[in-house]
Amino acid sequence: MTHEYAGLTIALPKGKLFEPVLALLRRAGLQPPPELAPGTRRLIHTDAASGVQYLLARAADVPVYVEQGAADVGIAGKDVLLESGRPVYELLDLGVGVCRMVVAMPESLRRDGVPWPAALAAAGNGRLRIASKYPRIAREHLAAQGIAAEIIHLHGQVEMAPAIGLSDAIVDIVETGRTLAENRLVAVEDIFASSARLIANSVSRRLNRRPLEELVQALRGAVQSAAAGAAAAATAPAAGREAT
Amino acid sequence: MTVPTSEGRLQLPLGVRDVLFAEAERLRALEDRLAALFAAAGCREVRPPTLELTEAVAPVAPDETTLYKLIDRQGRVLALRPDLTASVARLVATHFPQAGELRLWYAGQVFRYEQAQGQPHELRQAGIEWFGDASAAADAAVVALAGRALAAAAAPYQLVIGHTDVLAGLWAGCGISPRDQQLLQRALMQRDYVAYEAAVGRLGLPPERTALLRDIVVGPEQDLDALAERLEGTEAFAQALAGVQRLQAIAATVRNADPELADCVVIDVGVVRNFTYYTGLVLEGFAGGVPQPVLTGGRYDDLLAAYGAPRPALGFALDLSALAAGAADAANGREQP
Repeated sequence: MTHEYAGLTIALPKGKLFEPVLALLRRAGLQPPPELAPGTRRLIHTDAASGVQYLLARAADVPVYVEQGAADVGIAGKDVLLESGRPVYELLDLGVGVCRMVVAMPESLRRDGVPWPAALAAAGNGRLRIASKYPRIAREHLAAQGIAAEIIHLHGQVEMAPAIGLSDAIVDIVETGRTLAENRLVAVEDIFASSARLIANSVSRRLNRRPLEELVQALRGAVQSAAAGAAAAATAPAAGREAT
Repeated sequence: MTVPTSEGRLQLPLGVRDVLFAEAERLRALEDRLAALFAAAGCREVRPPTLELTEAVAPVAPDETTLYKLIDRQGRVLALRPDLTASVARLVATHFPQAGELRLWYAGQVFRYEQAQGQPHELRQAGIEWFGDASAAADAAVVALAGRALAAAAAPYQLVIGHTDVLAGLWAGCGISPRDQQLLQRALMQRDYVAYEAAVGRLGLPPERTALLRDIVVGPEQDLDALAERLEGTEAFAQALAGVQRLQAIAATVRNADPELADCVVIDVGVVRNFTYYTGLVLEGFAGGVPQPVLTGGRYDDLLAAYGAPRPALGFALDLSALAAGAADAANGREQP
């Protein structure tokens, strides 16, 4: 087959993004080795035919790998990118891993027509505590609005923080909103929309310009055909059912 | 008196480190090669002080939070220089108030308070500053000198050149409001092509202009002649076309003088540096084994006016610390992309 990406190292995020990203790479005509599948323990995989190397990384570490040049390109959520603050090139929106970064607070404290900081201030003891896995995003968003708050950095189960008195509100990623609802929280402000991005090291982008351009074009095509497929399935549910 | 220690060892402040033996020797050798190169190009060495008044560095360091500052006994706020361009500009205003041609080179430590973890706060730079020559010939000579400096410092290397008038001219020529232009520039400064493409898409321009603005930044490598043809005959794109033609002239001069060097020079009209600072040619240099650009520079004809000594100026600086560290990684067999 073609060797247009020969020598590229691609950092892939483990976790939620892994499977949709893998599907997208295949759709784009890349042939990641079959052992590169969910549950694999090996972290470095090489596709001998194309010469592409795949690194499996913690999602939050992908921007670090790319910025430091350990990988030429990588795939990371916009949420992770903003939190990392690493200077990497953001080349393409891959349209998977779509979610929103929101401020959420206990449903019981929300008041119609009252901004959330005021509603919390009315209910609280004068100090505002925000729990988040994204301390940098939370701090910058609140600072930009002139809201003084104490940020409590957690590594998971952020939705529990208000219920156990650890914080007054949270800043977190929401996909369907079900987790929020189950913890009696309600999103009161959208901070930004997130999705997976193709990122590149600033030097690789120059010294490997050709293979990177090929990769971007191939992935752009795959994203468009995936979007077209999804749109077709949505507008023609009958045809979609026939196919399955 | 005791000093703060961790397990008996003296700690260093954030972002600084000791440079030992082999790396120190590489730094000195690299600096010697560059000194010879710059001197051969007619540049004289200057050594401005490490400390400047904060006002003196403000024109090149708009973000004051990146400065290391201290207060002198008179209560004035001083800054450790974040860059040598500001210091050299101040030096020129101090000693050469009359306009005229000057070619200077320098090497020295610079200090920046970096927000990102693991970034050095102190590094060594060497570079040149040319004053008083606004010609395309001067642009070409500086491009050639930057290329030779990179060749003396690293292999493989690549020098990317662009011109601020191309993108700025295209944006203005498409009738994009100053506010939206700022938005586009911010997206590009943040290296966020996704945001740039989305912002261009929201402007509601005719499809061929949307495509032009997108391709020029995120598209595959452009042919400068084809771009010039696309811009010719449209009054609104006169500024952009002039930028393209200036780049063509620079590239032709460099190629005639040194074809081998020209093979390592790439023209990219989508390269963005701070438009409020640069007024024409922009340079970005890359070296194998170093994950960040190692050379930056360009033309800043308006900068010296901020020091009360208006005259054309251009130059570039190399990050010697990153180059010496990158060479160490390569020597240790850690192959880099």
